[in-house]
Parts: sequence; C-alpha cells; structure tokens
Amino acid sequence: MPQSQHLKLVSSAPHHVAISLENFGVWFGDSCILSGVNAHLPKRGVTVLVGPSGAGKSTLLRALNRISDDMAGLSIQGRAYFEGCEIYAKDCDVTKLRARIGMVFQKPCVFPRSIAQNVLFGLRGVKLSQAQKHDIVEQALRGAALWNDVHARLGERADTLSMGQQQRLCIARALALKPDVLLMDEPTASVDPVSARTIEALMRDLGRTIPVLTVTHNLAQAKRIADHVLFLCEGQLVEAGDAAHMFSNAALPKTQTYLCDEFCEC
Amino acid sequence: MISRAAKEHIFAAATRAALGLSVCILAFLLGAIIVRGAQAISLDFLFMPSRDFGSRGGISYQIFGSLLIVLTAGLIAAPLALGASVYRSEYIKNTAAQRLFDLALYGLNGVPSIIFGLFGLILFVNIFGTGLSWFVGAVILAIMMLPTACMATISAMRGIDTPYRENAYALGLTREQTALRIIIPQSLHGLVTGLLIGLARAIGETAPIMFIATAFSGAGVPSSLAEPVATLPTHILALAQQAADPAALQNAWGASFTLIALVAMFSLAAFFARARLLPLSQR
Repeated sequence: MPQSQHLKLVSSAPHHVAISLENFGVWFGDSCILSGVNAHLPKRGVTVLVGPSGAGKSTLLRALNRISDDMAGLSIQGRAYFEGCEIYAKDCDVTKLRARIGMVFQKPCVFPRSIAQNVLFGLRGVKLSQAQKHDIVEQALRGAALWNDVHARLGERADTLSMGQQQRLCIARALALKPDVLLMDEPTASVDPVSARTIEALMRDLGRTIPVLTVTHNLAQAKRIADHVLFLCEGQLVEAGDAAHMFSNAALPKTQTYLCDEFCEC
Repeated sequence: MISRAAKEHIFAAATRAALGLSVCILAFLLGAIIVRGAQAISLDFLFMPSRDFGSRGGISYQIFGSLLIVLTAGLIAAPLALGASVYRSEYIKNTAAQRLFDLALYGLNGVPSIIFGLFGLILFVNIFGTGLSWFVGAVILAIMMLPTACMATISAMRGIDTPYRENAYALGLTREQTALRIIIPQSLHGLVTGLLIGLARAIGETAPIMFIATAFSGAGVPSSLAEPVATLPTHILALAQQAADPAALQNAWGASFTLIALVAMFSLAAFFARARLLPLSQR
C-alpha cells in the first residue's frame, strides 16, 4: 500500500489538520536526521511517534516548535505547516509559535520558583489581576491532574515536588498558555509507573480537545494512548495510520515487525 | 627499581611538601604582617587622618579612598561583566567566536597592572585632560577586574543546564526574557563572586592608580569626580620609602595589616555570597 494512503488514515481532510509536513527533512551539518517526511497531524487526538532509537522522533518533535533553531548546523528541507502557516517561513514569529505549540520534555525541569509562579511563567509580561492569575493556575493544575496534590501549597518551591508531580507541573505550565498543539517528548520516561499512568490518562483527556503529539519507546503505552501512530525508522516515515489498524494490521513488514513483534514481547 | 608502593609514597610526600611549603610562605607573610601590624592598630590609627607625610597620625582617608575607588570600580564593572557574559553565553553560537572572546578575556586578565596605569595616564590624563581623578582610577580598576568577573559569570552560566533554556523557549520566552528571568538569576553567584575576588585584587593594586587617581599626601574626602584620593597601597609605598623612620615603618605595618584585613573581608564576602546565591540545584 502506498504511503499516501496510510497518511489518509491520519487525516483525510485539510480542515482536520493542525500540522502538516511536506517532504520535511532535518539536517545537522552533513548528517541527515530526517528526510522526506509527509504527514498530517489531526486537530484532535493523541498521535504517537514510535520507532527505534535514532529514528528521528525527537528531532521531528523539536523541529515542529523550532526549539532546535539555535543548534549549530541545523538546516531544514521541505515544508511544515501549522494551521496553514509555514513554520519555517522567514516572517514566522518563533516565540508566538512556541507559545501556541506547547512542549513538554522528557525530563521534568521546573524553574527555581514557587509552584504558582511556575504555572504562570510563560504569561509573564501579560497584565493579569490576582483573581485571573489564580483562575489560570487552578485551571492549568486541574488540567494537569495536579490541583488536588498542590492546591494547599501553591507558594512552595516547585522543586520540592516529586518527579511525577514536577512533570505534571511542566504540563500545567504549558497548558496555562492554552496551546493549540501539545508536543510531548517521552513525558513518562523519567517518572514512576503510577505517575506514568496518571500522565497517560492526562494525555488521553488532552487529546479530546487539542492535538497531542508524543514520542514513546513504550509500545504498550503507545497502544493504550494512541489514536494515530507514526512509525519512523532511520530518519524516514515508514508508515502512518489509525492506531487500531497499525497495531493489528500494519501494511508494511517493517512496521509489523517493530509494532507487533516487539509489542508481543512486552 | 622503585616499587609501585614506594612511587605512590614519594608522590604523596612530594604533593604534601608542595602544599606545606605554600602554606608556610602564606603563614610567614601573614604572620609577619599581623604580628607587626597589630601593634600599630588602634581606633585613632583607623579613624584619624595622617600627618607628616603619613609617618604620624592614622589612615582614615586612605581607607576611605581605597574603598571609594574599588567599590565604584565594582559598580562600573558589574553591568559590563553581566552584559558581556550574557552575550558570550547566550548570543555567540559560533565556536570560533566564543574562543576569540575567551582569548580576549584571558589576554586582558594577563595584562600587567602597570600597563593599565599607563593606559589610563595616556588616555584620560594626557588626551582627555582629566588630571588626577579618583573616578578615572575606578574606571581603570573596573577594566582590570572585568575579566575576573566575566570568567566567573560565564562559568556560572555554563553550569546552567540546557533544559532550563529549552523549557523557557518552549513557553514562548524570547532569548532576552530567558536571559533576564532564568540565566541571570541563576548565575548571580558567579558575578558576585567574580566581582568580590576582583575587588580583593584591585584594592591592593598600586600601579594602575598611582599616576592617575591618587595623591601621596594631602588628599582628603573628594568633593568632585576630578579629585585624587589617598589609598592604602600608595600610602604603604610612600611609608616604605621612609623606612628609616621607625614611626613611619610602624605605620606602614599597620596600613599593611588593614589592607590585608580588607582583602580578607572581600574574599570572605565572596565565599559567603557564593554559598548564599548558589542555586539550590547546584549546592
């Protein structure tokens, strides 16, 4: 089955697409990390990027909100569109783009400030009343399933939280900006299994309102949370499609081997 | 053939001897100054102005002048060091340019202090016609302490994990906002430590300010930027030239003791400032 047909399973209509990639590639100096990626990220649901180490999953994720812009030797090929606007256009306001395409990293990194200040960190410079600030903090922490844990100690330093709570605080910090897309680079890799399950449930919830694009090496987790799957290998998008289809009936042997065999081993 | 254990023993003994010798030299130097200088120290000595070209009276104006010059130098150097360090750490991405910047800093750090004095004399006194001015002295000392402050600040900025920057950028912060809200607060310990070490070094310097900022006698509290002040190092130099006079020699020891105490004060302040300002994550 040609690749374009698999992509249609992710999104068949342009108005359902939040991010689309056209022959997209990433190079660092002479090294090609990604090439020829054509894909659509639908406006709802959790899309999981899977593939072996070095496949270019994190590179793709980081390229979408231009977090790697400062890296020496970075060059981009092809085009990436976010709601119709080209992400790498010369007139693209990178800071606004990053605020709209939120990102949560593998290792939680809270700023050395209070829990509430961390949530409001991206909103500094925006004039808000105390009541508005409190509402944003509460909403974001509820959205990240952290409100019940911390509502009585919002003024405490964020680094006193557990790793799992810190990761949820990072999610809350991103949610406070009301992003249009949320990118998550192995968000459960540094947390305990219980926290990981909480974050998985959170991703499912978030996926109902905004597109969530996440990277994971845990195929069991991918099966639990994914609505759509993109399988990358050696810098190429091998196959993409609906999660149920990909896990049960992937078209290409390479995908079957990776998703089915490895998943069966888990 | 020497056995492995014997080699180990010799190596340990050699390093121990090197450490012991270094400590002995420092102890002898400090001991001599403390023992002889302490005899000259009194409230009158610290708070009275000098008389008879320094051989009588106290060193109040010299203490005041030294502190005025170095603290002003610190105030001038702080924003320059911070700005240069932020630029080096956050804006220069080209490795060759970074190396060039570092080389310039190391080069500036290695310039003998007398060269700074001559530079100040030629540029300010001869070309700009400022005459003897404590403020010009402060500017020259600020330039002198700049590399120390920069290197300590850059080192602190390098110590900040990349994820802090990435998380700030991912929240839509600009590079400037990231520098102001993340990088500077977390590297303040480096700046303060570097500045205080720079101050500790600068307060003992004679050569850079001798020709441009100080008067060997007759200077009091300046009423403008364009007046000289008396400083402890130049006062000690003047008194050493009168070493035949026991009273002048005694005052020289007393002034040296005071100078060492001020240097120790700045060094201790640097130590405590570092401990206090170091981010929790790096303690």
